[in-house]
Amino acid sequence: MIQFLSQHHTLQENAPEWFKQRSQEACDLANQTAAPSLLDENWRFGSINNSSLDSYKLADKQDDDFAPIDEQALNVCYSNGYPTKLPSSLPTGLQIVELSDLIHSNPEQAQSILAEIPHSLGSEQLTLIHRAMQSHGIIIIAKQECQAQINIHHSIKGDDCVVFPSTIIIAEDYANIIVKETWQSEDAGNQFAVGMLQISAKQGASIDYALKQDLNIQSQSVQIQDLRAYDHACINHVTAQKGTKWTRQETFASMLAEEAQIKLYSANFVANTTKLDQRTKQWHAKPGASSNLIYKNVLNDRAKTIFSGMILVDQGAHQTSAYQSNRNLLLNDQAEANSMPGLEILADGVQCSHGSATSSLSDEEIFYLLSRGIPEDKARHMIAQGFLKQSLNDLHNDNIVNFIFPEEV
Amino acid sequence: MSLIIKNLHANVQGTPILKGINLEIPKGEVHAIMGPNGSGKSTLSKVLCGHPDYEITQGEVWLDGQNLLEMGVDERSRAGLFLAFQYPMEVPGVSNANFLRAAMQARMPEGEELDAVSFYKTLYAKMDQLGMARKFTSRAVNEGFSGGEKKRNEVLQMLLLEPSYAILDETDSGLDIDALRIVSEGVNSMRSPFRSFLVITHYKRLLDYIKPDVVHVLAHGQIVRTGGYELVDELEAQGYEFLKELDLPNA
Amino acid sequence: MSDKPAPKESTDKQALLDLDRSIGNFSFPERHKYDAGYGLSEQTIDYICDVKNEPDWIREFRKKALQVFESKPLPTHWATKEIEKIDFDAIRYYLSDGERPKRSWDDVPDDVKRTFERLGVPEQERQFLAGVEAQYDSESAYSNIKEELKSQGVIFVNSTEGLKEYPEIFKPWFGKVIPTGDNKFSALNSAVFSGGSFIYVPKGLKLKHPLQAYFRINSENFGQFERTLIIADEGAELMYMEGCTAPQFETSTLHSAVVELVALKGAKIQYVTVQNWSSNVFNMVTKRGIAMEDAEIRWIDCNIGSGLTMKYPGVVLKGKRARGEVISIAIANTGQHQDTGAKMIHAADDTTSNVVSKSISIGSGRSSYRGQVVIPRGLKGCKNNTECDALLLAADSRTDTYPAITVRGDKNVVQHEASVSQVSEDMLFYMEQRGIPKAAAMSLAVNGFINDLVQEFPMEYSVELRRLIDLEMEDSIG
Repeated sequence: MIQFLSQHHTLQENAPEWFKQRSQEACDLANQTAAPSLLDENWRFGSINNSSLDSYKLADKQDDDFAPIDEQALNVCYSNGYPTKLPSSLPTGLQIVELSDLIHSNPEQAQSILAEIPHSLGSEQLTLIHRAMQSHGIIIIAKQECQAQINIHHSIKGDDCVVFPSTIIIAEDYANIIVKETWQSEDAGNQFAVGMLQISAKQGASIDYALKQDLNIQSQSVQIQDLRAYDHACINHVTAQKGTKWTRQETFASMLAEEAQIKLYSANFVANTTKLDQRTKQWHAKPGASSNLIYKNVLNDRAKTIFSGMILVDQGAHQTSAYQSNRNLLLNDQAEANSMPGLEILADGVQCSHGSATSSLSDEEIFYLLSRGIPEDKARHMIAQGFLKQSLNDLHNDNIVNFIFPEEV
Repeated sequence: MSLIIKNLHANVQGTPILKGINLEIPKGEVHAIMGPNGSGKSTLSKVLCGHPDYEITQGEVWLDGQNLLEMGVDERSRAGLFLAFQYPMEVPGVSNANFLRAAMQARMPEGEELDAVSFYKTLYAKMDQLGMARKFTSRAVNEGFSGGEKKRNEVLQMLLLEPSYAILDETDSGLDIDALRIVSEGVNSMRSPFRSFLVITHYKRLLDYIKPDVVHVLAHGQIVRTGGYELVDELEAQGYEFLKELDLPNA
Repeated sequence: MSDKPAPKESTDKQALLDLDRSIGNFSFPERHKYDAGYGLSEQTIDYICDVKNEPDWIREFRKKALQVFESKPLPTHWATKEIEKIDFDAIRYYLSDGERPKRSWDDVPDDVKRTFERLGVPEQERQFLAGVEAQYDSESAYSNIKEELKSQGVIFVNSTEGLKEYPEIFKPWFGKVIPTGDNKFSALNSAVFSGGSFIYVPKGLKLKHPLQAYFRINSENFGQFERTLIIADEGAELMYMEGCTAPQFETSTLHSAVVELVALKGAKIQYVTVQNWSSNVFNMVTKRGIAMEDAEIRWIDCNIGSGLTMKYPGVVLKGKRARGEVISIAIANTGQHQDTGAKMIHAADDTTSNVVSKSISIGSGRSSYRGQVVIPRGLKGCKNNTECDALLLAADSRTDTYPAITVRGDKNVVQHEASVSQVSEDMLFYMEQRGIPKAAAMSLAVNGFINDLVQEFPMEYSVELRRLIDLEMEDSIG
């Protein structure tokens, strides 16, 4: 039984009726929805017990302000799920508004944005729990060809506490934005972050989004990400899971109109006894769209990764171009990589392939670096890092590359 | 101060390739090694470098008085040995700049940081010298490089790392005339009384640009002849036929 | 996920489907010599054991298997829900000698007759394969070969004879490669198996000619629950072929075969299957081999027929430097679902496995690839390479790929590639521009797609295979 679920009443004390009702419905549904089971194909090779929230309590509001400020961008900061900073002056065509404000100031717009339950890939119950508990979150709406760079920083502090980050990005009208989100633990407490990301790109808009998850080694996180691209719109989505002892990422990418394009990237260095569980879906619902996925992991110590990626091309979705590639580099005899790249193709006129490869460091590459005087440990690290960084070659966005790999200059 | 190789024997997968190499390269000299295919030329360079595929069964190597064979691969490099590979490796995702910085940093004394500004200044100067565009710094090491570009990259590394003993393993293969000239100029610019070169080549052409002081012929895993530059012309004229008449011990 | 109704131009194949489902249209003999009746119970097991006069240990084995079968659910959490249509109570689990249901030649559908014609199947065989005749007498044709084998010490008998006459060789390996409880259908087979081959090849003997299931034809061998066990002793080599390209008529709707292969040190077994069951058949096969040190097992598989085939040939690489390979071609036409794949389990250092799977989906056919590759920790030098390619020939063809790869440790290499494509319009245009009509151009393109795999099949099959594939395509392309 999830203790804090009933606390949603308190959280949403000041919310309008329709919002409270939405929460209550979600709460009821959550209680009726089954928790994941290992018989569920979406949890094959996974660890179901980790996602249990029974022993966690809601994180308390914090007074400290840890967030770093980047002069070049518009900064949005949260501490334990509560907003601490929002940008003051915005360019034309850009709206950045806190959820708790929007539900009052523009209930119609809020209702429309918050109506649908996001797609998930096995964490249906958690999705409903998030919806029930949702009281804060950042909503970014970009139109009128606006260009912007937005940084979202979530600081988390405390022990046995759960936080529900929520980010909603809507871009239309040839808007072009870059959003960089960071989750950072400020102490060594046991934290659980259940985050929801919804991105919708229409009418030629372009959204580059990156999430750098940097929680401490004790913590856990679940990320439910629902990405939708429409006509001529493009979403580039990047994740780098740097921390936690267990993370589950579910990324559902839908190509919903012609010339829609979504590219998914992930580069992860997984060590200690960390388990990284990533499930993705590239859903081609309409013809003429394209998608690509490049997920790379370097595993050390007793790390375990699971990658399950499905490309689903619906009947009638001809002229689809869809690719997927998962590469794992194992540095240690105890590490384990699981890969389940999948295809379900119901249309023809499709160019589609996937590949998965697992290997260890190339002796020849190591020798080459050694022959230039670079000591072995550093050589191995450089090659592993190079392997990961290569995943972002196709992104052509130095801003995001430097965000994910800051030590390179 | 020199590089001294004494009676070096080495196997590859159990097969003996080097069968007693004796060679001394004093500081400041350029030595060339020529020989037919399969004579062991590449093996010699890999063995000196410490490649794990090769097993040393006998012999000693001394670099400026230090026992080279007891040193690890990276140690040998920091001690002043450099090998320009015949087939340079590609290292995906690792930029040329970072690669070179790491190599330079590895030579700094414990705790000292390489100064980024002076590093880049030096790097760009050397790149200009070799006619390399700036964009090569951010490209991954040798990835997508043509054969000639890879060889030029090897010479760039050599210019930066300033080794005491540089081995060039068939550096001329795959190079057109222009690239050959640039590479040779780079090498010649580094000649000094404090540096030695061992140029391994199959053809005379490279040695027209990088004139050696001493020329050796390597055959069947041993050095069978040593002479001056005139030996190059002799080989050019007569080929390696003469080897057939030789009676070689250990062959 | 359900199959679409067949389009108008699908021909007698649909008719065949209808015909088969209404059993009453055939002429059956009044009584079977041995008939266990419909449905499955302990009595069925007793009946089978009595008729075959089997020793007690096998009766025990069968009964235990029955219990396992009954306790296991259908694997619908990952497999297609179509398997729920299997009516286990409506199946006859044992029919014997001379009692395959007969039909008159007039009742044989035209397209089946046409196929025989096109493939050049001899007259006598046609009657047998079409279910008109109960037996095909292979004695005279192959007696010479059988004599030679016997003199070399090769044992080649059916499974019943194997377990009765050679228990000292049979028992140690029977049920060890594929344990009864492996899955619901292997449990079923373990309970009611009959027919199939037992083969033993002595040390060092490398057979020049392939062994064919054909050599031992009788009605039992084309039965529903064949059980095959092949043991190649150290250094032995053999190739075994089963099935044929000609369509095989079956009234029984469920086939659940089990094939176990054991390749001892340095031995090599190649197992070639061409399956073309009629489209009313559920074909569930469990096939696995154990390869010891320096041994090699190759599964060469072609699935053309049946309504649903579920088959994942596997190799357990148990000894150092063992090699396992699965070469698979699957063709799914309208109303068919070929659900095939491979399982490679690495259990020793320096083992290699290779999977090449090519599938063609025609009309609204569906082909799926399911793979599993496991390399546990503590192993080094292991390599796996998997390539699966799918060709879709129509707008509503379907293909799926579901591999699962688990690798532990830093000294192994695994690579998996899959792609889906169509016959390139440019390529077709090019050929048509050179005067080749569209249908022939398609045929050339499709043959090109599977060419390197067809070459893996023995000569006798590869020619027939190509003809058969052309036939399959003809019906669907205008």
